[in-house]
Amino acid sequence: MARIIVITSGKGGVGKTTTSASFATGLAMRGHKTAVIDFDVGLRNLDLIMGCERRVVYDLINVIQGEANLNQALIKDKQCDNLYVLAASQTRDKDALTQTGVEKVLHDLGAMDFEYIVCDSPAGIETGALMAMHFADEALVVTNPEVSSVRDSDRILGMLSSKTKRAIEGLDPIKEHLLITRYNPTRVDQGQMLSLEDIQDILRIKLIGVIPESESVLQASNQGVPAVHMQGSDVSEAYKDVIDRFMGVDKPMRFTEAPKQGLLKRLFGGK
Amino acid sequence: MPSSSAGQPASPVPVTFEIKSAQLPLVALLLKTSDGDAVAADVLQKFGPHSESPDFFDHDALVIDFSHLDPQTPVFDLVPLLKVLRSCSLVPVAVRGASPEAMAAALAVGLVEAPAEVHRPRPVVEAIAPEPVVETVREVVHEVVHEVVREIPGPPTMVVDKPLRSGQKIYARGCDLVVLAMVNQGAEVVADGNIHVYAPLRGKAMAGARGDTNARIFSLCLEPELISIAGVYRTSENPLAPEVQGKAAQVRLSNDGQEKLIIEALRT
Repeated sequence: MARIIVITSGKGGVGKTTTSASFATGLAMRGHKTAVIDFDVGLRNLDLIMGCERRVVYDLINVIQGEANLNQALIKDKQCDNLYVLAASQTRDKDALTQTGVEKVLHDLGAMDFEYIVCDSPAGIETGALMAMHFADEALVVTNPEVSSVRDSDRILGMLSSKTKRAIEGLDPIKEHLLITRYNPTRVDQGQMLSLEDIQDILRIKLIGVIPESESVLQASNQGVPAVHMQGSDVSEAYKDVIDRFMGVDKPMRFTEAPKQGLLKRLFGGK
Repeated sequence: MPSSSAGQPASPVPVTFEIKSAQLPLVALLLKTSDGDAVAADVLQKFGPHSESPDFFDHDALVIDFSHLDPQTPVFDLVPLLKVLRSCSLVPVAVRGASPEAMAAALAVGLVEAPAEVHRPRPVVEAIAPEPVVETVREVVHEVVHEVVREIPGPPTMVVDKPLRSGQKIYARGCDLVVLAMVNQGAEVVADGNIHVYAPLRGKAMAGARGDTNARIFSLCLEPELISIAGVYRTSENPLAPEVQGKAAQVRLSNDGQEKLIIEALRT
């Protein structure tokens, strides 16, 4: 049975789609057959970040409404053999996303021997977000080190523990992981950002990783390459650590301390 | 024992039923004006189906209290008010403190007469510490629902052991509430009795939701957005004293008749 992981946050612009792309790619790079589904019906971003926007013919809604089958709609990633993308529809209305339809798609993917299904949730707490999380086994809650993002993540965590299939049917609860993105230790030290400890004190779920704030993320998404492919960048390393921890490897957190600045840099300023 | 009453026509005690004395907890609607339409409009705005808290009441029995009105005021038609109250999930059953004319009108529309409110002496609150940190409140609000006749012991304490996160709400109807995990900002805990939070309390906490002025709030780490006891509230806009902010503390109402919120550190 495929393991379903929802990437969610409540707030928009915190890095859900970036994380979905890199997380799914990372799983596939380890040899696991993985599908990543864009649930942001009406907006569609995942295919851009994955660099497959020109190959989208059929999307999730076409499959749900029976206008295409999964084999037609799944887009095979060019860089990873085991990775498939199911894009969102840009022209449909979000009400086209039905619970039975989503359940069938997830079930059929499981029957196609997918090991992991990554659901990229839209922002907000409406249908799209509820559908993305409903059948999840695990959740990556993406949070930025700022108050509003933490508050929205808290709201989403409440919904994960009350509105999802596992919660409603009284099964084992969804395994929740906290992923902090856009973390800048220097700005934390200057008091401009919440610290890891502050965030964990409020959310109190297990931290799976910290992705540092970096220009390479923007660069990667403009090129249509998942950030995990940016060899040698700290973001790529951080995402690989996340995959390791997800697979049960115990790894210390990296990129959480501000780099020590040399005397000259401190005197003359610098970035 | 066979329960055929037909075979025992002379039986003095019927076996099919028994009449026993019973009591019912009620909420009271204390009228402050004899303008029934104005009351109905205000109630509808606050608790009606399209208000912010349409689920505040859950088919609660209600007594309409006329005792604050001048007995000389003209009798108004109760029917529109009753309609509004029912639309707010209230079940008006009785009237008290009304003038004979108003009472007659109420009886005519099917309400019963309830005895006037009995003022019970409040139990004396023993001093917790020689010099407690006393914090008084500047915003005092009395809600419409204030007095409650509560004689029946409520159900046992409600215990919640999962964290309450933003947007979640728990109501311990007619009992105390014990929360063993944090109550985050944006979450709401409400109890008719006391509220105990053995973790940080960062959201809203409302104890004595039906007017029990003896209810208290306890937390191991008091940093709430809002605290309220029997409708007397205080928001975090007005910061707590440093002696209690983020500390183990309790909140209660003063028992001097002023009904001020007193927030004091718990001494161990």
